[in-house]
Amino acid sequence: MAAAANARLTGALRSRSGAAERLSYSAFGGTFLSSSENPPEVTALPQDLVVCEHCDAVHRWRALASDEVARCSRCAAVLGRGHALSAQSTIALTLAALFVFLIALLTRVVTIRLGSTETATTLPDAVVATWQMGAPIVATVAALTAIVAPGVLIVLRLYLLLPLATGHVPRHFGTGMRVLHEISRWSMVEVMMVAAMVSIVRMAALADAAPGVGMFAFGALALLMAALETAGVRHYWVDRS
Amino acid sequence: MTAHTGPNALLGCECCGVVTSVAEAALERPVRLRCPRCGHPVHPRRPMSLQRTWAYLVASTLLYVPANALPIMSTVNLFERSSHTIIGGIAELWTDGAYGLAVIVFVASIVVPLLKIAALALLAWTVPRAPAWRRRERARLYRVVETVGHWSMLDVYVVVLLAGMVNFGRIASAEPEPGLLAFAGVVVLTVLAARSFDPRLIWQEPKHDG
Repeated sequence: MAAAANARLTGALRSRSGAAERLSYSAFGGTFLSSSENPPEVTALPQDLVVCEHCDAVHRWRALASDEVARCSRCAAVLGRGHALSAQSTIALTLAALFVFLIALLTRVVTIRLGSTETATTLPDAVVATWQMGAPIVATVAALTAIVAPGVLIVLRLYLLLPLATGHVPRHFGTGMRVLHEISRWSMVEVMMVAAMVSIVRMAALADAAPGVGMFAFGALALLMAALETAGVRHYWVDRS
Repeated sequence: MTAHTGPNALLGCECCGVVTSVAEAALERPVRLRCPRCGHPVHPRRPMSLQRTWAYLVASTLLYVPANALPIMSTVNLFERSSHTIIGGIAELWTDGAYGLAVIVFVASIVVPLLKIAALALLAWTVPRAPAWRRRERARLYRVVETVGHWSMLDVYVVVLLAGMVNFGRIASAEPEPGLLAFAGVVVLTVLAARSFDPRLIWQEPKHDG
């Protein structure tokens, strides 16, 4: 992981200073938009600057040790983390997340016994059942936040990371990174794990319920996603060049 | 080298983090600027931030009433059909002795939505009226709202799981009710409200307009 990916403020250059050196787009490796898409007054600056996205304060990057967290000098928001994960370990974690995600979807979350009847439900079954019972919008919201968003996050990360690890830049890299950025807040697998626990207790009044493999898979997935989230994705931009 | 004169603004891309230098004259023109690295729109402030935040907040406050007043789920067994509101579900967990889960659901379904609406209203209200008041604390408040917001989806998932699992026809079944749609609406609208609010407004000096 390139050292420049990690940052720490070394002084608060205040915003709105135009003094920094100007570079042309091509200084970053050629996949920039052509100047016709932007007016000529828009110029990318060297990558050792970071603007706090919560308050606009400008800082200068420096390499971070693996347990350091850089915070904005003005509003204390996290600017970056030094993390111990190499590109290989990130790929390994993402692959693990993919398998755990498939297990979580394909195995039963809860098994219920009522008299001699036993039923078991996977999350996709539950979403379909909700749709058929006349709540299609709720079913869609649940499917998007618990199935589609985490699935896209995992697959897209692999799509971007695997070529980078071998020195290639995947096609549509910029679009992929933007989708990753937009979708990350809509993935809510950690909530699903707690929801499975709550539903088991709520169901005790109606039938005998026991946790299935799927529930534990959601727990493991929540941990893996949290680790990946902390590792961040912005440094892919630096790994790329 | 560009030929313009006049002051420049440094803008960070919200998506990829690259820092661009933009002539302030270019920001005043009605042109959509894009990040030269990733193509995400760059703007000094999220567009119409306060108006959008207030709109989502009003909508989620209105939906909050049916979300709590109407049942979110009904259960059927051989003898009876009963409806459950959000508060009722929490009370059931508590009387079943699942105190920890009752507290988690109470926080996720009652405290978090109210806290989000109140906190975002406070943030949006103070930007024009008390710009210099406790800036660091307000910045932290926004980050907390952003982090905990999605936990209110908990009750939506619980009903979806129950509807899928308790499916024994007339002997026992669980069905979603209209209150759940309102509640899911509250969750989605408050997440959108949090995304519309631009925390950079907290740090804006009063002389700049937003």
